[in-house]
Amino acid sequence: MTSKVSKETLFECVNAVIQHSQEKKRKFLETVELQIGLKNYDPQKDKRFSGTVKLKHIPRPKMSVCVLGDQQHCDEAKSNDIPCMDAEALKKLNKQKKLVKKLAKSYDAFLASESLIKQIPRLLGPGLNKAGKFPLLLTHQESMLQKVDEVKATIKFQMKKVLCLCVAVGHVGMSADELAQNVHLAINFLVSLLKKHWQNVRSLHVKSSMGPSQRLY
Amino acid sequence: MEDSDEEQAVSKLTKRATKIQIDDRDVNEWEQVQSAFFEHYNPLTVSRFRKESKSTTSGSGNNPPPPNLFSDTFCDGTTILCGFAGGTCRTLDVNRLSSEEVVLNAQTTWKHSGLTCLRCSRVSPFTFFSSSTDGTIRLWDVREEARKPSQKFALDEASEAANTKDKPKKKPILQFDVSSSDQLLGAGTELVKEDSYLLFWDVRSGKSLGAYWESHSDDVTAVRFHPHQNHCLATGSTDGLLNVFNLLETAEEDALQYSFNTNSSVDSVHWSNSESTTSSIMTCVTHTNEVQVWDALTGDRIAEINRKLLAETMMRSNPDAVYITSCYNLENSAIGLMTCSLSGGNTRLIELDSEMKPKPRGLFMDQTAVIQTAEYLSKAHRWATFDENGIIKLWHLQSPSPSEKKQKRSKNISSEDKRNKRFKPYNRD
Repeated sequence: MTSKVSKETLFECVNAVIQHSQEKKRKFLETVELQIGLKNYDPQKDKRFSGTVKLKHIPRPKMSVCVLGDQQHCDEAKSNDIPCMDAEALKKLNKQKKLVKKLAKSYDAFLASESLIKQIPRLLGPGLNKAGKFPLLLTHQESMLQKVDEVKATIKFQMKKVLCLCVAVGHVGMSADELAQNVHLAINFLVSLLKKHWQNVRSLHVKSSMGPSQRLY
Repeated sequence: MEDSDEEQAVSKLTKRATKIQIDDRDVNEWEQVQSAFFEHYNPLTVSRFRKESKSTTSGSGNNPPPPNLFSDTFCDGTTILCGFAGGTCRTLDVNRLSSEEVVLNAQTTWKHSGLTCLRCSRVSPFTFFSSSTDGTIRLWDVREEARKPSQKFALDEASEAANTKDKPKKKPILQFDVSSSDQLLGAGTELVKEDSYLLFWDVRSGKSLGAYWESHSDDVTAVRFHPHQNHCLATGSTDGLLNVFNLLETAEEDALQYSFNTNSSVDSVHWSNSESTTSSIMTCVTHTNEVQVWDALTGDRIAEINRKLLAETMMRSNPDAVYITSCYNLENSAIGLMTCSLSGGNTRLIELDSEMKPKPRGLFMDQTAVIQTAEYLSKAHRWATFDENGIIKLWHLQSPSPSEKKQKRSKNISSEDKRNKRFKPYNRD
């Protein structure tokens, strides 16, 4: 898809962001965000603008994923050093709200085997739903490591009532190339969801958590 | 400073930018498209349902988007209800839509400001319900002269105040549904502080039956009762979850049967309307213009159809231009998807076969604007579509004229032979 942002502009922008973060080093790993300003779009009256997109490079490396698996998946998880829980462990929580809430807080995302995912409402109640951390389906046909990486590389975006959308696309530890690729992917995907594509985009900015925003479009 | 220089350069470019078009076209020859999409719909009537907006065709492209539309069909199958997000709604008799007439008769409008959803009664062809951001649902009777609601469903103020510490905030309703035989109302709300609610009312008494607020973590955008079992409810939200509830259970955690994670954001959910009363197939359309089909009985995901596959079925070149208007129940329990191209119309009907694989089915001829909402009138085999240019069209399957009949017969013959046939004197019309 042709992008209205040239490669040079993208690289210049990304490099500027990284440079700024190097100039004043912070004690934490700064996140790099993409900010999109929209126009000709009424958030109250138009169709919603939300969903998920998978980026090429993992934007949040410290994201923790837990596998709620059947026997086969739990064995696979243990051999790959991925935290896991089986049906027995879940039953032990006894549907207690506090324990389920604690579980939800301990991990950023969950994956669950086909057989187990159907039982989650019965085993845990709506606790994971409420926390926004309901597990994703994990089949036996796909590689677990691949799926975990996929989950770590997927970002969620949501349009609220304002005409601006913000998504985390990376961190300052990534190379300019990686950041540029992520930004490019994110922009193309988000624009493709708008009814009028580029006609709905007013501006694009990239910024790190503590740095100034760099205009892209 | 380098920022301002860059900014100046960028702003110069944007000023010079002309109207940016979305690139999308047919992949195959038109004849191939016509034969793959074997149902050809043509407009029976064309009229305007909204005044033409003062849109400018300047290069800056500052056109405000057309107002969001909602529609539903009355149970008699010939009257359509349509409403704007601004608050006005009206009924349209499909048998009386004449060409070029501006359907703006003030006598047939009802107003519910902040309108978010419309549903016709399941039993009466004269009543309908509307919901709004004010957190209420109103029941209207089209025969009422006064244009005032017959009934108003709101949350019980007293119990609200008792349950919350501070002043109860209003809960804007985004979508709702009425159960079969008009027994129950179920409504989904926006995220208010940290909770998004599912509110329930008994229609006959008007009493509030309570609420659920544990099963979704964001705005509830889709609510649908099972077509035959009025205790079975499906809900969808921007948190990506599709929940199935059994309302015979009293506690929410027992009522929640399944949670399906679409890993996207749910725009709408539809139950398959098969003859069997135990049908459990749910089709979900996401805000990312993709379709997922789940079975509410077994808990299995039956199909996942992404934009790329849809573009291939639609025989179009650009998956990013795929737009799904909605999902419909066709004859023989078939599921139909009305798709458009964001580059402008090219509306096509895709059918999901018994294995839930998308197949081309119908063409809406010469449609050049994206369809906002549409109604399928199953008894008459007709479609009523409302598009972004403010036009409402009633479509029917064109009965083939004599010349077309010949072309259909010669479908398998090469185009050269077709040309030769037409010149033979005894085959001329």
